[in-house]
Amino acid sequence: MRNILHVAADLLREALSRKWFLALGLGITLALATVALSLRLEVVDGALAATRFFGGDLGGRVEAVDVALRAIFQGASWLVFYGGLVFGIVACSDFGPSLLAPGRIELMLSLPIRRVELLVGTWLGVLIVSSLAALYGAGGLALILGIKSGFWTAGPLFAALLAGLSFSAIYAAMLAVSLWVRSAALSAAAGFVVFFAGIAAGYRHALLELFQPGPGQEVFRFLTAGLPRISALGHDAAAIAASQPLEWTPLLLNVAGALVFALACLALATWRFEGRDG
Amino acid sequence: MSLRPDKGRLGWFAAFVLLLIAAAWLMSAGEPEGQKPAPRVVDFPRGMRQPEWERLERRRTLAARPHTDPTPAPAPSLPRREPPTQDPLLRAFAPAPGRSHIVMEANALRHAPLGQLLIDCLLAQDPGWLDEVKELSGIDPLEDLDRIAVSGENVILTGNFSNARFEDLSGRPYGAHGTIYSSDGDLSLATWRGEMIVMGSGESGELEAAIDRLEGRSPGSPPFAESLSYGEVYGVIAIEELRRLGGGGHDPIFDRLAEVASGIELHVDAMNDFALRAEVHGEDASALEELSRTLGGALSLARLRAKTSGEEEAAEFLSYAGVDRFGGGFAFELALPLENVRKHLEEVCPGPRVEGPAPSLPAD
Repeated sequence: MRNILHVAADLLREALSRKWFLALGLGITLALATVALSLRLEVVDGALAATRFFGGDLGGRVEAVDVALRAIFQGASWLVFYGGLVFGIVACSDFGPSLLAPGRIELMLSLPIRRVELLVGTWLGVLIVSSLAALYGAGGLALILGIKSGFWTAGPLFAALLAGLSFSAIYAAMLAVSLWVRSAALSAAAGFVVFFAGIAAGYRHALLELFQPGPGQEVFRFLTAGLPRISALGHDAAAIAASQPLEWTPLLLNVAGALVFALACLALATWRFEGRDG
Repeated sequence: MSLRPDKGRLGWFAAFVLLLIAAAWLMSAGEPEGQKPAPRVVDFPRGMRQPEWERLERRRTLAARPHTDPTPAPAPSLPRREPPTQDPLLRAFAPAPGRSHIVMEANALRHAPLGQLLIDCLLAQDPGWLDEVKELSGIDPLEDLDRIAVSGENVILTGNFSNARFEDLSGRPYGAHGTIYSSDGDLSLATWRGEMIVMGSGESGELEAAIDRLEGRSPGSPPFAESLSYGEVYGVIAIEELRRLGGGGHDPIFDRLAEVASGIELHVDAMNDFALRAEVHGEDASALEELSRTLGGALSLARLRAKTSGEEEAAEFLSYAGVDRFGGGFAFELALPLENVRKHLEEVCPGPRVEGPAPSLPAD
């Protein structure tokens, strides 16, 4: 376990030194500062009476502050979830290939670290990086709106964790592919395939109805069965962020399924890695 | 780089297959059977929609200014212009100030899920009431009735009343198409052209005045414009009646509303969810803004109280409520999703349940 944490910490250090992640941190900070400095909320008896953004009045509806802020939290959650996944696929695509780069891989394998620990540590590091970025953005927004409106909610934080977890499933597939082809572009392509296929898998039932009964329908059912339900997780993340009613059993099953999918990809990657002579 | 022929690593491949099957099983178990319902959006009535314009057009059967006259005949070379026409119900309303006028689209409501639920509920409690009404009056409330309007203390019904009979009342003809009936008691009633019934209490003077307005012998001044006849319930509420409703000084919000408002328009959509919008107009912009904030705060506090006392359903219902500000006034909005009404009525009434989507706006 210690070895896994060492590898994860090593990946975190590497991520922090990259311009991609510095730009992401800077971008999130800038967006939060803009919201903090230009948004004015006037709350009377728990009702949002006026909203001004850059001095302009944003509509005249007076309603309970948590109801009024639902749309903002929901919008932020969609942005963090889908924006975060796309950014993560692009920014993390060369972690795997650079781990396997000639010279580095020999050095890593000369250390007393098992190959599976190397893979799991890399995956865990990416999971931590993506979750931290999502938590920073969503938590910062919740903090600013909490200070300005007096309405405090942990919903956006849970939504951010869900985004981080969804990315970990995608990244596990990216890492497995990089064991076959040491290419950042192909790793990103694999990430996008799982991303879009996962969106389709979230609407699996609706899409299945579009097929004529027959082999085509069964092939689609089979191919999408094991994919993480990205769109369903995104939908639930937005609902959690906005403190809206939610069916917890399907969400927990989808979360467990995405985690098990990630473990399956790691097992496949380990099988491939163990078969290589260095 | 080459592959090592190590058989032990096959365990990882087996783990991959088993884990993928487990992932598929978990996620398939979490899938809803049907499509996920779309997030609920309650549409509040904010203006005339195309079916309502068409509905209004069908109802414009009365010349708009028959008491003055007459548009001169156009020159033969010019295209003939249709004279302006009006909805007779609006003309029948007495133009007296300080009187509320509310119209309910009974036929549209009867075909809406909400109306069907209420009818089922009433029939479950008293299965014979519908037949009794038919037997007594010759009117089938579910088929013959189009609108029910309340104008002060009078009630006006529109629809097809050609089979109506009032055997216990003595009738006399009035005007070209009217008949006025009265009883020994307080009730008086007038029918007009077989399409309208005006009911009042006491003297029949108001009924005669209504027929005079309909037949153009006296000027009619509708209490609200035709373009405000949207929703399944609509009309104007008089400030004086609102003050009475507030209990005459016992409710500070009602009193304040009565002070600052010059008029209140009411619109209710009930074809699916129940969505009420009451527009308050007035002269004093700052007093109206202050009142709108007070109302918004009151709603928010009510919701908070419902949440803290564990009344989730009430809290969810109040989350659709709000106050919408606009130039010259504000609108108070309140909604009750159809599912909530259904659940409540199922508790109260053991009658049959209504399923399926709402029909489109029916023809008259």
